[in-house]
Amino acid sequence: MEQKDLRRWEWLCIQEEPPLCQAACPIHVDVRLFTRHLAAGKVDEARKVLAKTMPLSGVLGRICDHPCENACRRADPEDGDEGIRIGSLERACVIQSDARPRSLPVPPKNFTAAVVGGGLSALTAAWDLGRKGVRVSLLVPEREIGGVLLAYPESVLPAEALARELELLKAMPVTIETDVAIDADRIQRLLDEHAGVYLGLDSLALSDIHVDLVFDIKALDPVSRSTGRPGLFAGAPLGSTPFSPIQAVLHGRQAALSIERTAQNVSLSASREKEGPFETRLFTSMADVEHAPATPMADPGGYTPEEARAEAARCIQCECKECVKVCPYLAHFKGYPKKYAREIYNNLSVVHGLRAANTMIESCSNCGLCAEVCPNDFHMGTLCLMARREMVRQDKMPASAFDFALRDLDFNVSSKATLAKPDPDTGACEWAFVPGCQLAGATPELVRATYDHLRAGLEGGVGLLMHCCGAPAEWAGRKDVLANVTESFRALWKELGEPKLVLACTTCLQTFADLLPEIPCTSLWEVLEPMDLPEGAGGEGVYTLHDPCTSRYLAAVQNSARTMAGRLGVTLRDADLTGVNTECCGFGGLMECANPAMATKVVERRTTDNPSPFLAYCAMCRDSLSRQGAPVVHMLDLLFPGLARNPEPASPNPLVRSGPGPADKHENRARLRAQLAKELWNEEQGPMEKYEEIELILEPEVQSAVDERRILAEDIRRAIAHAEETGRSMKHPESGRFLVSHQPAAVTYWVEYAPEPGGQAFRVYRAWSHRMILQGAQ
Amino acid sequence: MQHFPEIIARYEGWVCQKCNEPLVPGKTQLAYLGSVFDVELPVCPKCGMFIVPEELAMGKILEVEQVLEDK
Repeated sequence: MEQKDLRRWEWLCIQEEPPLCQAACPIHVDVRLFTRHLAAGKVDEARKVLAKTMPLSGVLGRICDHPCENACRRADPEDGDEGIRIGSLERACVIQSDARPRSLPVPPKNFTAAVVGGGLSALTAAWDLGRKGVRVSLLVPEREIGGVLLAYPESVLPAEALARELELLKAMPVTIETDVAIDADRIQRLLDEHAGVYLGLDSLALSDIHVDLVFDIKALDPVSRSTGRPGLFAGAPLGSTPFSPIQAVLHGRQAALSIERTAQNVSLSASREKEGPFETRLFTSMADVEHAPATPMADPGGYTPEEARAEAARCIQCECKECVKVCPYLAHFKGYPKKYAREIYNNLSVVHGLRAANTMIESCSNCGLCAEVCPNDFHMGTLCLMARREMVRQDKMPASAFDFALRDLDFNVSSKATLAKPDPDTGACEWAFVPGCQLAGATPELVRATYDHLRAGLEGGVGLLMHCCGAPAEWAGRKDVLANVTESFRALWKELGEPKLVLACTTCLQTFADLLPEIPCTSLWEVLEPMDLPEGAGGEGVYTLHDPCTSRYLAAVQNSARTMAGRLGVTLRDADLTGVNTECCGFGGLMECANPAMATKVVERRTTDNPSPFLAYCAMCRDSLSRQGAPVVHMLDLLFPGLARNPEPASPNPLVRSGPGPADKHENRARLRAQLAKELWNEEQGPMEKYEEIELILEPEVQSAVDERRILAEDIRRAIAHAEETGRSMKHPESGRFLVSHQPAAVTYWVEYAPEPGGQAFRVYRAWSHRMILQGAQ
Repeated sequence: MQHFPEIIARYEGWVCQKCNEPLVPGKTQLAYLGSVFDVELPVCPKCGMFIVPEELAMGKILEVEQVLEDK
């Protein structure tokens, strides 16, 4: 991942953009934090927020003309109600508290500045420069300091409030002279003596001097406040429009920065786009905001502390987080995509040391709901898949992450699980049914029933194609494996004479659309929709329909599923997140494999936010959703109710187990393949491998522990076979038990067992595994 | 070297099938993702075969694996 890629990802996520109020404020007061403190009754903390950005906060806080209020999200004419009364809150705050952050002494700068004027803009310029250690001569043409400020009535701006702020100004390296005669010559002399000079034109006496002799007021630069004469800046002219205190402050602030830049001999115009009001890209939904009018003011003079608190509490603390709101995975890491993109970038850039974002990268379900709800289509799955490929490339992908799924894939493309045959009756193959690994593993009997039904209803011959689509390899970042799987699938399809495929799984559908676009693919539901129902098909009751996440952009498939459910006689209710906004079941992207706890969280949310029972039309969704005990039926259960299993929880370990039966998914697939090959195509099964003949006996609690540890019956059989063949094992003479280890690939398995008297059966007492490699004893 | 005497004690009575020798506590090495650990485990004094007890594999070892994987 290059840094420019990171920048592009970061740009897409707008969570860190400022809220509307702050962007509209010419000096960008952190209004959101200010109201948060006020709402919590922390008036002193709120005051510190104002003073951090505002010069003379005790003055500006009383008189600011608050352009922020119109910009407030609540003031939006379309979906808002009434903007927060930010101006009144600021006023209440500065009246009720004088707390300010302690200003730290700064080393003196090596240049000086002159500020001419007694108004708010000149005071701001002097304030900003003084705070940075610049020695400032503040030359006030009038006897009294304040300029236009002096015109405010005492009730709005008491003289004492201004005096208190001037005390702070005097504590800075600012020398103040009043009654100073100003003319063009004096200004020239000031320019000769100082790095820069600012004329704050909101000082009444300055309107008497002929400014036009000093500079062309029309040539004033709106950002740098430059007059065109080197070192001379001016702002806050008193014109026909009403005096805007916040504009005067902005001008003073812009000029102070320009004087600093002049002294440092750097560009006056570079990187100043975000000075003054600007448009923010932040999006904030009003969907869940309860409408409420502004808090009334008992005394028109201002909010009481209680009133201010209530009004501040109306602030909705604008932020986007649309994706985080709908995704337990994104919420889990306590941030948002922009932050995650940085963490992932850092993770991939680590040469030595901790790779702190591994779990995050491995756990995303790649379901794409984030991109669907994001104003800028930020797709966390795309980012994570890229990162996974990069980790594989760098050889930094922990073996534990996707090891199980990749071994599962290996099995599913082996001769034990794959099958490609034309129609057993006619030998023709205009169509081929692709049940997918999950349906075959979970409910092999439904594969057979569906295949028979398709053969009876479709013209031109229906073949069968059992093979992995490659999705787990894609999710695991293994391009090499994916390429092999894709090629091997394509070869089988060609062998069958390039039939049209009928796919039971939308993940297969999605994968082939991307990788094998030349293959014509249709979902099983679209094919079944116009066909007669099998005899006895149908159900009753109300179900929450769960669309698989890989059907997100397949509206036709989703519609067919709904039509089929209607034809089967059940009533559907939509889930809270449905159709294009559907949610993953926790299996996608191999979330369940890399982070089972996260998948449980996802399922918990899905099944508590929506009423049971559920109707799924993806075998994996069915098993995943049921892991927490929610009843879930598969659409095929309604099509073939005679075969339907009790709609009870499939298993707490959906990746391993198929349901309450004893066989795991590997065995189900292998048996289905062998059974179909024999019954439909008269193909005799090849000789079994020795380990396959081993019969295992596991008590239910042993089975459950073994499942949870992702240890397959096959692993146990191989370990026992290995020991029986080599004689390398440990023995416990007292109990007659044996203990063996076997390391077929990355994982070492240990099994404690005892042979049952006479025959092939072995009783398994416990099994465990580790990924550390045995180096040997010394 | 890491010692887990309580766990090792639970594996008393196990014998190496091939050498017919009772297992004794001995130094072994386990490696993962570039790190090597010395651990005392029940070892056959003759052929060096050893047991990684369930309590360690699903406990301390799993923890260390996860730390090394930055999980």
